[in-house]
Amino acid sequence: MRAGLSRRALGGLLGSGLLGSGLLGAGVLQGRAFASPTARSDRKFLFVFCEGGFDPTWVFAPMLDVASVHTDTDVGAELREQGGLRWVHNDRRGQVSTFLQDNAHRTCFINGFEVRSVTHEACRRIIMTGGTGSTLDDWPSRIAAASPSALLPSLVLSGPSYTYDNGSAVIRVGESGQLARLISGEALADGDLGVGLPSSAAQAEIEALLRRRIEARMGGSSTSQARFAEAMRSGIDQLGLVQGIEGLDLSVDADGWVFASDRVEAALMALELGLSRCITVEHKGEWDIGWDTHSGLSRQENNYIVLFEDLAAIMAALDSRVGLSGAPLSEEVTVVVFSEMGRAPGLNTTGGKDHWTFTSAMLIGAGVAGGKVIGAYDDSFIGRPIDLSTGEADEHGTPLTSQHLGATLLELAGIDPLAELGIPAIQAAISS
Amino acid sequence: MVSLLWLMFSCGGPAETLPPGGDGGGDGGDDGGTETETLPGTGALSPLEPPRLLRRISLDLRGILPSVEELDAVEADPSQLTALRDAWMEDPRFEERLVHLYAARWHTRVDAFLLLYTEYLSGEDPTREYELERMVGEEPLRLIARVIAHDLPWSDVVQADWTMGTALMAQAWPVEHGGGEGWQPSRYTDGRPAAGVLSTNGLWWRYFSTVTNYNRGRVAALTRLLICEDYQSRTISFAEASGGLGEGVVVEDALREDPYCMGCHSAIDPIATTLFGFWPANEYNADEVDTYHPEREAQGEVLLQTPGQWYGDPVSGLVELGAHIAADPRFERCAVQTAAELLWRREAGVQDFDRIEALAQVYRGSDGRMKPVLRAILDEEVYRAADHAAKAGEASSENTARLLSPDQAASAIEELTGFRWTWMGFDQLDNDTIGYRVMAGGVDGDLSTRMLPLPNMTTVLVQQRLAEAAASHALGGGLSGSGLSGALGGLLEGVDEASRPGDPAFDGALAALAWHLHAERPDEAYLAELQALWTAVEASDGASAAWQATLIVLLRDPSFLVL
Repeated sequence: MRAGLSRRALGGLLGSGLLGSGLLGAGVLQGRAFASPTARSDRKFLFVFCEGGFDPTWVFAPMLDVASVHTDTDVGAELREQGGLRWVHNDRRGQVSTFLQDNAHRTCFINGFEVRSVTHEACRRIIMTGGTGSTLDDWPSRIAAASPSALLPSLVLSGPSYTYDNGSAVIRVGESGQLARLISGEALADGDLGVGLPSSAAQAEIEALLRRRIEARMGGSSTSQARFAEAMRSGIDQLGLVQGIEGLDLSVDADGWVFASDRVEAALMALELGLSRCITVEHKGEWDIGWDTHSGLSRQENNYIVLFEDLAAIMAALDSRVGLSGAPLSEEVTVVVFSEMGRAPGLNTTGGKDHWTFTSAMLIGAGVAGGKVIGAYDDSFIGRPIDLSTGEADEHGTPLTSQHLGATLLELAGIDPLAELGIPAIQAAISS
Repeated sequence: MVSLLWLMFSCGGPAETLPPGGDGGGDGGDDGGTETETLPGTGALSPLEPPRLLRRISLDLRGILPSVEELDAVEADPSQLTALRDAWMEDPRFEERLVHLYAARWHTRVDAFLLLYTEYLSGEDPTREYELERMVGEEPLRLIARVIAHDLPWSDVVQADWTMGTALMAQAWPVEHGGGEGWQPSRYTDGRPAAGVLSTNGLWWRYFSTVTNYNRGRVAALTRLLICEDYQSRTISFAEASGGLGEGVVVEDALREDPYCMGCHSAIDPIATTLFGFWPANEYNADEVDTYHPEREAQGEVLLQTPGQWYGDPVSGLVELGAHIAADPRFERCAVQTAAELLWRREAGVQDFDRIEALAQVYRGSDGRMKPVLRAILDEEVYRAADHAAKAGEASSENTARLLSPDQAASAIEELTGFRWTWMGFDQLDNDTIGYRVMAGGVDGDLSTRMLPLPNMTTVLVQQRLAEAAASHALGGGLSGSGLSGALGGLLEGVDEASRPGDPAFDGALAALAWHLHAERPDEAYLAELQALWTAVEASDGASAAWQATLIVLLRDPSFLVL
């Protein structure tokens, strides 16, 4: 699947003149390509969204001795700790412990933040944006919009995406990899009606005239028309650059699972080449069913097994690849594992767990203060206020919400969260 | 979207109100003035030129471009626009277009429901998956569209004793189809009360309830859509619940007893009680999910421990619920606000308070019918704006250069060329499983709930492929005439393989094509550029390819993509 486009290939692209023709982002990309990987403004993000609402008590929030919280009470559940990280272990899901033991030094849990709703749709929006308003941009697009040079600033492989001002920063690959088929032109062969593409000569004539028309519109007196035309030109420029990268393969297996390896492969490639600042991918667990376990709690366990197997593969891939800076890609990328809500402490009438406003998230990799558990739950599974600087529970501290998660991500990305949101980051979760 | 009434009170009243737009009566108004009007607090809106306004209205009402003759007429006499607008509201395509328009708010045209098409079409052609999924998701939208298009009272949306159905629906569900082709008024035969969209499988399959949610999520959808009361926009905190949702507290008890929870649930739960005919006792059982359960209608009162009510008024069953919704003052205001927002392509704000009130007056003055309201919106300055100069230092709050929606692009190009992009039975601009709806800027109703305001890389790419496909389809067979379908055939009439730039037939066809597609008279410079493109491609690839290239560049032009 992977064509192996390397930094050398990107160097060739940079030197090919394709990027030197005044197209969008070209100059900036050249300037940014070899910037320091440690700069927050160069940090990249992989958002792994666990759709449906995972149960933090199975891994992130040990509540084994708390009678009021129903958790993994079967035989074998126990507390594990390594390097400051504490989690729930059970031999049945050894993959979880294996991963956390291997990655504790660069992994941080954030426990007990509140997503202030209990419906999937509202919670998805809140966890992604910090609020319920339809005019809010989500964290990936906010971060991506701060990096206009990236060709595919916020690449959405699957899962939610909310934009208002930053729509042009978000590129969707499509559920079955439609973007690749569009780019290659194969999409036309999919149609029920046979069609053919213009010749390359005709295509060149079309593009040239279209560009003149757009640029004329950009220079016109109408503000809104100019803005529209500018957005069009940006899109066309982006497209031209993406098409120009020989070997870039954004295709996915149409009948593969959502978290199929080839899909993540495309994500890793986009990060490796600096094409994208943010990647969003949905993780629906075993059999792609999701995490919404109103009944059948065992699905949480099976989903966690698959999730941590996939995370292990991702981290191994990030470690083995080299970013544009020459450092391992894992030093440039922060992996964010989260879900739109948590699950209630008690069982419902069908033996499952209903929605709960408090939940957890896991940060792994670049910039993350590893070996830490931020925040805590009380015996009612209500998140406890914390001291943002230490991450310790503090009754006089700050109750955490999804906005604090977002503020922390923005800070990790080099964006001032106080200026953007009026909310401080959880400094204890950040190492650099 | 939130109710402007709520905004008014929550903000202490409208900070900056505007004069009512249009003539308030929905009978026309100024068609095509070009003065710039300064509006307090919002900067200046400048109106579209009449042909461009005609184009916007045509695409919004019919989903197709105005003909050259229609453009000529309005260019010569802008007052012609009113008659055309009214005629288009009687066009069959108006009803179809309304389905797409309201889908952007109702979010029922999703690609997946809890039940798969194979539950109903086992052993049948899998290419019918799309048909079945749209059958489900469009049911409430078709009802809405019929109510508006046939000038029925808007209250029929929650009170009609019919639904809309297809022959396939009659095959899959207990529905008596009204006969005839396509969507027709139909009736359920399983004993459910008939109350417009409140009785439709389509609405409640999209807004599903788990067993233990007891229809509460459905109530949130219902109030958001029908009275613009969006409970989901209100954030909650379990930590701040008055008694705390702590140890030993049963959530169901807290919802009834804790004042923090009761703030919303004292309204939500009594409404949820009325929906128990749709409540599944097991959401993992297909029969439970897809069946209406008349015997459970009274069960809500037991399980939720509250009688059915609509904001304090006792309600028994769906029919009474529909009547109470229709009588709620928020119902009419939400109806006009929703319509305005859909056509403005932006949410209403406090500054729109008077505009919305003026539209509500139109609604009341027309016995609660929406057609006059739509007319009034189309006459209104926000709808007609070409540009908006915001006050210095402020970002524009208007969306005046609107991106053509995927369904508008699809239907306009089909009417022009006869091309509809389909694959395996799926409309490729109307699904995201294998298609390009969201990538083209559209709404999937699930993960994407808002039209993209401006083009991006994927929208220009989808448009490029759509243009290429349509041009190839229409002109790949040459210019013989017989191969040309759609409006393009008429526009290129008189042009043949021997026609060249400079020939009157050629030049006339080229100018007419640009005029038709853009509603802007092409100037000499642009025509010269198009001719140069044609000539260059013809030299290498022939006349047919040259016309294809010309059509492609016109279809990808910003003047085509801007609504």
